[in-house]
Amino acid sequence: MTPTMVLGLALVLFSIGLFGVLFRKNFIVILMSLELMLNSANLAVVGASQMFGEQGLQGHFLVLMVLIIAAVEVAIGLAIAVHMYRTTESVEVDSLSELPK
Amino acid sequence: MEFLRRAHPGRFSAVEYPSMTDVLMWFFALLSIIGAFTVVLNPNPFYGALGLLLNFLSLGAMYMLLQSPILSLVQVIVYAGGIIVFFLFVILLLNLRKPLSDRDASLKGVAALVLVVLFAVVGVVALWVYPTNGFTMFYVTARDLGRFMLTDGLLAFELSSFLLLVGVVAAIGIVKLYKEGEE
Repeated sequence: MTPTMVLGLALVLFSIGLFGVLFRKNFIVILMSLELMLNSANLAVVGASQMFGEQGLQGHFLVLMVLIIAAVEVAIGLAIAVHMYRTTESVEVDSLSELPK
Repeated sequence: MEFLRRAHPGRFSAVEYPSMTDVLMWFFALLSIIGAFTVVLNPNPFYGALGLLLNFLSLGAMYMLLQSPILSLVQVIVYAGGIIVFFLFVILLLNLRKPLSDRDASLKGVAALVLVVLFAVVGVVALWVYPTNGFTMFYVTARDLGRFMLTDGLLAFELSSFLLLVGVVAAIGIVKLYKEGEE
């Protein structure tokens, strides 16, 4: 197990998540792809911080902070999805093509 | 295996067996990639959420292999136990189990695929061209992380609690925006 492998895996997962954000139209799937990207960044941070021994503790703390931000982002994103479904009866992002009156 | 190596020196000595850590690492890497592809490619968001669960659990196992059991537990509890359940609740609430027609096979999708594959290939090549140092593992316990959190990381810790409060208020506010019977 080398750092290159961990960072490469994080890159692959990030690319898959980026593809989901660009490709899919379902708002909930876009949120899940965002979670994939945040998680791959977390993996990269953990792998990189394990190259620095005891000093790498900061990286683990950073991962916890990213986790809190991801939780808040999911809460607000799913609230937006619920609101979107109530107003347009769809969660496809293409349905949000009108400005509010 | 050891007696074979002693009986036939030279024949088996060149064989390097991967360590258990490597085998587990490759296994969980494969699982996490399968989960990620399920999220992105499955038209049904319900199965997408289950693929995301597979991805989160295998990343949690990988944190364990990277000598960080506390992050592994937090990953399983918060992500797999909290966020996935949140996604599943919303999918069931909005009754989205029937797939939407959102597989866009137009030129835009192909362009996105090319862009992403290019990004991944350039990144992986760059990673292999510039080799990193090896691991200097540090076994992170909850004690170490908690001590760091309440000394050096105190400001970020307190600000994150404020961020959580703001997130809860914002989520409730967004959901209450809608009034029944109003267009």
